[in-house]
Amino acid sequence: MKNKDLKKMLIDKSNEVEIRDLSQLIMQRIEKEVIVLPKKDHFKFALKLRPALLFIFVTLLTFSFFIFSPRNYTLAYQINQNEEQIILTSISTLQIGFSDIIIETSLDDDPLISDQIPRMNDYLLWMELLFNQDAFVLNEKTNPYIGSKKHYIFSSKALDNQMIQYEFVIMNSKNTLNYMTIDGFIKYDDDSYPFDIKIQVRQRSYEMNVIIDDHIIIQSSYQNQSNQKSFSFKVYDNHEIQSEIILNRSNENGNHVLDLTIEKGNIEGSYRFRRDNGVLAITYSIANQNRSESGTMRVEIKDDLGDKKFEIEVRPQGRPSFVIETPRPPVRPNPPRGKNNS
Amino acid sequence: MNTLKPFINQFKKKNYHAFDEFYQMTKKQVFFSIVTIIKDENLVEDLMQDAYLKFLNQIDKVDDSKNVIAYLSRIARNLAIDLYQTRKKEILSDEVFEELIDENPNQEYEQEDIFKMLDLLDESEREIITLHVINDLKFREIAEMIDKPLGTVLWIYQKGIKKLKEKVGDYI
Repeated sequence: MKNKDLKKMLIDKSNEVEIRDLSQLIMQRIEKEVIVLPKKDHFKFALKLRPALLFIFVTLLTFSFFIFSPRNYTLAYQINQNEEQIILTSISTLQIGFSDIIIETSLDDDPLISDQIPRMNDYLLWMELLFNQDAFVLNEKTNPYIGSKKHYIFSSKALDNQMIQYEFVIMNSKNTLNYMTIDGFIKYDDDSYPFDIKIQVRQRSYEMNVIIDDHIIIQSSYQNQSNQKSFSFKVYDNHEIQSEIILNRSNENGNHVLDLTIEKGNIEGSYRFRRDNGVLAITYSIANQNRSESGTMRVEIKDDLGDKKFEIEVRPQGRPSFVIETPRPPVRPNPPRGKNNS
Repeated sequence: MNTLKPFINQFKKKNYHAFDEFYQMTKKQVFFSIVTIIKDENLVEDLMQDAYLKFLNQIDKVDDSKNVIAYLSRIARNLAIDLYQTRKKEILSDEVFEELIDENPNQEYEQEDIFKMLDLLDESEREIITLHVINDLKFREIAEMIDKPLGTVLWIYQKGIKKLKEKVGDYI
């Protein structure tokens, strides 16, 4: 046997050995970098949008009260007591209202998801509330404000049992065949916020346009399609759409699944949320104009000497995992700056 | 291996999108760098992971103008030797290699022809032939890696090849 034949035999035989693919295990073991995000001012961005988005929340939540009061508002009754989705819409809008609409894009070498974490931080509380709908409670106040038509208290709990509570006072309402108009104010803590809305109602679905000021319009809609409830939220600024978020709620093997899709923005993509033994499990797929990225996240609420924080383990596909610790937003939303009408 | 240079550049930017491809291109060399020293399947897989992790964690030190496979093979080999030495101290036996082999006979690679062939060689022959023939390293790189003179490496290699040529027919 010649040397070259022997070498070829060795190489051929070595190629026959099945070597296990350990690449995924190696990627998972790459040292995780822990990033601690500083506490942020939730109202530092787009101040003019903040009160607007809060009011759309007020609008939707108030609308939900009319759904709960079919005796007085027959059109609302046509929605067939779909209170769950209305509350879903309300909570969703609340959290959109406290989320950043535009986020700076990341550097070329950074995972795209890293810049989405501040937005994710807001979405997490939203998802937390949505997964905890069993805690939703709505009561009509027995001693309402003088001159009001209705006075309600809405309360719920976050996953850590922290209470969220609002009061809604309906001062005036008008019904036509196609529209409902309502005005009044929302109250929490010592602050009150007036609202004035017009609601267009259709059976099994609704659309809502709220003109906040000369520039800002919020458009929300709801549709119920077989196993899936779909909510859409659009924010317009000077007739230009700034953000579009779609929330689909479905059921998989008896478990709620929430799909959040960002269809308009500098980074678009989708997030799928599930509850997994007290942990929020997320799969994501996002993209900007230049590149795309997918991966998974696992979110836990940690108690840091009384301060609640989200611990987010991020596993971008093809990149090292990292852990982000970020303060959990307050369950009760902070009032927009400059508003104190009590 | 210039074909690996783009991977190194990406890894230095902490971009591991192509790691799977890099792994597929290099796993055989890493595997054989270890398996000539440690044969237990579980230990080999652990060491392979450790080798790649160490490689990625010190990626800034990697000179991509040089042979990346040689660098990776050296890391893998050193980890295997460290484990070998640790086990040697634990077992306090001159038969460490055999002990490691015998730890879990059901999980060894000894069923493969290549291992039967390599087992015909002594330790240094096995390692040098593996690094040169299977890992495609130059003798100069092997000499540097195992800290032996180039002439010694060549002599051991020729001795091992001669042994294989004489015996390989009985086992294949």
